[in-house]
Amino acid sequence: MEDHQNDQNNQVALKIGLIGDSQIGKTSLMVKYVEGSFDEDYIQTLGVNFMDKKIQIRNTTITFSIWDLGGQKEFINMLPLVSNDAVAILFMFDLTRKSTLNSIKEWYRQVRGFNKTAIPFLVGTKYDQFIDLSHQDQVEITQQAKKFGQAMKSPVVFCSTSHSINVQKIFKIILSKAFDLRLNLEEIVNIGEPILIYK
Amino acid sequence: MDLNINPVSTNKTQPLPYERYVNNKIYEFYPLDRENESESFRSSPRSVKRAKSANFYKELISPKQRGTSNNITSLKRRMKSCLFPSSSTMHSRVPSRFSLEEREFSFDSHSVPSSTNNSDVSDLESLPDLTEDEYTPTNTPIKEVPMSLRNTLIYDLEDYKPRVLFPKQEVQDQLQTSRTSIFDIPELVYRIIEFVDIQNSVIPQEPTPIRRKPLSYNHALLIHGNKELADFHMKQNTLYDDSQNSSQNSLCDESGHNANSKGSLHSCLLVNKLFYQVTKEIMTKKIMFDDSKKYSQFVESLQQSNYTYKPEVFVLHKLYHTKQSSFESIKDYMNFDNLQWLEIFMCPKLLPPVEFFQRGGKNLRKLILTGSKVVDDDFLIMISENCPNLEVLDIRACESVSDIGIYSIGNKCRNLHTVNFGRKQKGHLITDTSLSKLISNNRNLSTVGLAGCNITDKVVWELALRCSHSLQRLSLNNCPLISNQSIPIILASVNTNSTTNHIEQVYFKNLSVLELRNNYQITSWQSIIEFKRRQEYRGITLLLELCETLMLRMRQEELEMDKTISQRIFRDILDWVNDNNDGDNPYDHLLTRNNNRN
Repeated sequence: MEDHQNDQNNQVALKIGLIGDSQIGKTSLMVKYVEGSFDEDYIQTLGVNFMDKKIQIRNTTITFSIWDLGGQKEFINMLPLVSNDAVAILFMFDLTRKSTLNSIKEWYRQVRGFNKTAIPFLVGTKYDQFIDLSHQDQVEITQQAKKFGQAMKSPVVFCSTSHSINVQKIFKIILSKAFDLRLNLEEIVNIGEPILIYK
Repeated sequence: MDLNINPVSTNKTQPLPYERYVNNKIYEFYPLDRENESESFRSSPRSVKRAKSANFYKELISPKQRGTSNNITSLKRRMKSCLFPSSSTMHSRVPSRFSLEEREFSFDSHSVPSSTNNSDVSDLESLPDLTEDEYTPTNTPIKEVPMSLRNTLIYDLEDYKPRVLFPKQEVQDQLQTSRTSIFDIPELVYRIIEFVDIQNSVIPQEPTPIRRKPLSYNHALLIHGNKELADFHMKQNTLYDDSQNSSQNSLCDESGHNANSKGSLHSCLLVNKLFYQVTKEIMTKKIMFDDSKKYSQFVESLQQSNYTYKPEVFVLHKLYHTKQSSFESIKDYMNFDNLQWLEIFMCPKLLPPVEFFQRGGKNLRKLILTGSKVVDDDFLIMISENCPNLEVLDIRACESVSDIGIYSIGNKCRNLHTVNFGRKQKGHLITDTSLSKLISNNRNLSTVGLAGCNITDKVVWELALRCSHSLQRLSLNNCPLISNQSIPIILASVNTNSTTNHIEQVYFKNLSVLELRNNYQITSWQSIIEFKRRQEYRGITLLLELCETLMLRMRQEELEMDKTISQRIFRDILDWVNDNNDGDNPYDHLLTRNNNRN
C-alpha cells in the first residue's frame, strides 16, 4: 500500500490476492470487477493472472492490483507472488461444492506462511446456484462458512459474479478494513440470503 | 579529443598484458634498448611480423566487437563461461563503454574472413586481467581448452546464422599471408594507440562522494530514517575520511595503478619506430602527476631532452610541496597552444605563469585551481583576457579571489557551464555584483557552487530567470542571506496546463541537487517538499542537502503535509465506500424465483 501525492491527485494502491481451489470463479470475479463482464466459459488459469482496477474519487485515485492464482496444485509455487505484500487475501470457495470450503483451511495455512498481515476474507461464489440447493445443504454450508470466518477472524461474503451480487461490496469492505474506516452497510446474516458479515 | 568524455577514470578495464597472449614471443625480439631497435628488426623480420599480427589482431578486433555486439555479449558470455569455466566469474570486467567508428578498420576481404568477427580470437579481449591474482596459472587459460571445444558453433543473436569459430592457428596463418599490414599506416596506428590511451589512462581525481557526510549522528538519523542505516553511514563516512587522511597511501595505490596501466602505452613504445613516434605523440598530450617526486624527476628529464611537449591535458594533483620555481621552469620546454584542460588541484603554492595562456588560451576549456593560495584577482583578469572560451571554472577555496576577478571572468567568458566559487572563509569578498554579471552573460550554467559566498536572494532569482533550463546542481550552503524570498517562491512557481491538467515547473525544471545547509532564514518548506515530490514524479530524484536544524524543520513540515493528505484521502474513500449506488444488484428477485419454484 502506498500513498503518493502528485499535484493534488492522491494515489492509493492496494494489492489483493485471490486464492482457492480450481473452477470456483476467481478469475471470473476479477474480470467482473475490473471490466464489468461475465463469461460462462471456463478458461483454466495457468499460473497467475493480474489486473488493475482504478477508481477515481474526487482527487484520490485508488488502484486495486488484483492477483489471481490458478487453483491447480502445480501452481502452488507461485503463491508467494500473489500473497506477498498483499493488503487483503480473498480465500474463495464454491458455495455448491463443500470440498472447496474444506480446502480453505490448507490454503489459509499456506498463505499465512508468506504474509501474516494481510486481511483475510472468506468469499463464497456462485450464490445464484447456491439458492437452488436443498435447504439442508444451504444451512450446512452457511454455518460451516460462518464457523470458518470466526476462526480466521475474517469477514464472510457470499457473492454471485454472474448476477452482480455483493461483488462491489467485497472491495468496499476491503478498503474500509484497510484504512479502518466506518462502513454504513447493513450486514446480511440469514440463511439463504447472500451472507455479508464483516463487523 | 573531446575532453568531456571524462577519459575513463572509472573504467579500470585493462587489456591483457602481452605476455599472457598465446603468442608471447614479443619481448624476445624487442630489446628494451631503443637504439638497437632497427637492428633487431633486420635480424628477425619474420618473427617480428608474426608477433605483431598475433598481438594487434586482438587490439584490432576488440573495438569493433564492442561497437557491434553489445546485444549478443550476454549470450556469448554465457557460452564462454561454458568454455572457460575456471574464469567465468571474472567476466564482469568486460568493457562496454567504448566504441570506435567502424570504418576505422577495413580488411582486405581475402586476408581476414568476415566470420572472424565472431572468432575465438576476439574472445581473448574479454578475458579477465589476472595480473594481480596470486592464483594466476603460469600459462594462459586459453591453452587449457581443448581445440575441439573451440570449434563450437556460436549463434549470433543478430542474425541467427550459425558460425564456425576458427581455431586460432588458422586465423594467424591468414594474417601472416596478408601482404600489407595495416600497422604500417600511421593514421590507423594513431587510432589504435589513441584507443589504448583512452582505455588505460587514469587522470588523478578526487573521488566524489554520493552525498555529503552527515554533520552528526542525529543528522544521519534524520537523513536515513533508521538506526542501522545511520550507523552504517556514519561509519562509512569516517572510513572515507580515514582514506582521505591517509591519502598518501591511496595515492600510492593510484599511482601504482597508473603506472601499471601506462604499461600498455609503454609497451606500444617498444614495437617499432612508427609506433614509438605515434605513442610518444599521444602520451605527451596528457601530463598528469600526483606525486611530487615523480614530478621533479620529470622536470629534470625535461631539461635534458630536446623534445617539445604539446600537452592538451595538464593535471597536477595534490603536489603540496612543489615549488613555484620548478613549476615555472617547464614553460620553456612546452608548447601550450593546444592546452584544453588545466588542473592544479590542491597545490596551494603553484600559480600557472602567463605563458600557459598567452598563445593558446582560446583553446582552454577547463580550468581547475582548487585550493590555491596564490590565485588572485589579477590572475583571473589575465585569464578572462586570454581564455574567453572557458567552460569549466573551479576556484573553490581560492580565498584571495574577490568580486573584481569574478566580474572580469563574467564579463569576458560566455560559454561557462560549470562554476564553483565555494569557500569557507572570506565569503564577503564575493557578492551579487560580480555574480549577476556572470549569470547574465552565461545562460547555460548547469552546475553552480556558491557555498559560503555573501550572496542574497537576487542572485538566486537571476539564476532562475537566466539559467532555469540548464541548471542541474546548485550549492548555496552557508549563504545565510538566502531567505524565503527566493528558493521557496521560485520552486513554488508552476503553470497548470489547462487541457491536460498537468502541472509544469516554471523554474529549475532540471534541478537535481540543491544544497541549503545552514541557511536558517528559510522557514517555508512546503513548496520545497512539493517540488521534490514533483521532480520525483518526473523521474528526477532531488538530492537536498540540509543541516540538522533545517532537516528537522523539513521533516516536521513533511509530516504535517502527509497528515492533511491522508485526511483528504480518508474523506474521499469514506464517501465512496458508503455510497449505496455501487453497481451490485439486489438479490430479492433471486429469492422470489426460488420461492416460486418451491
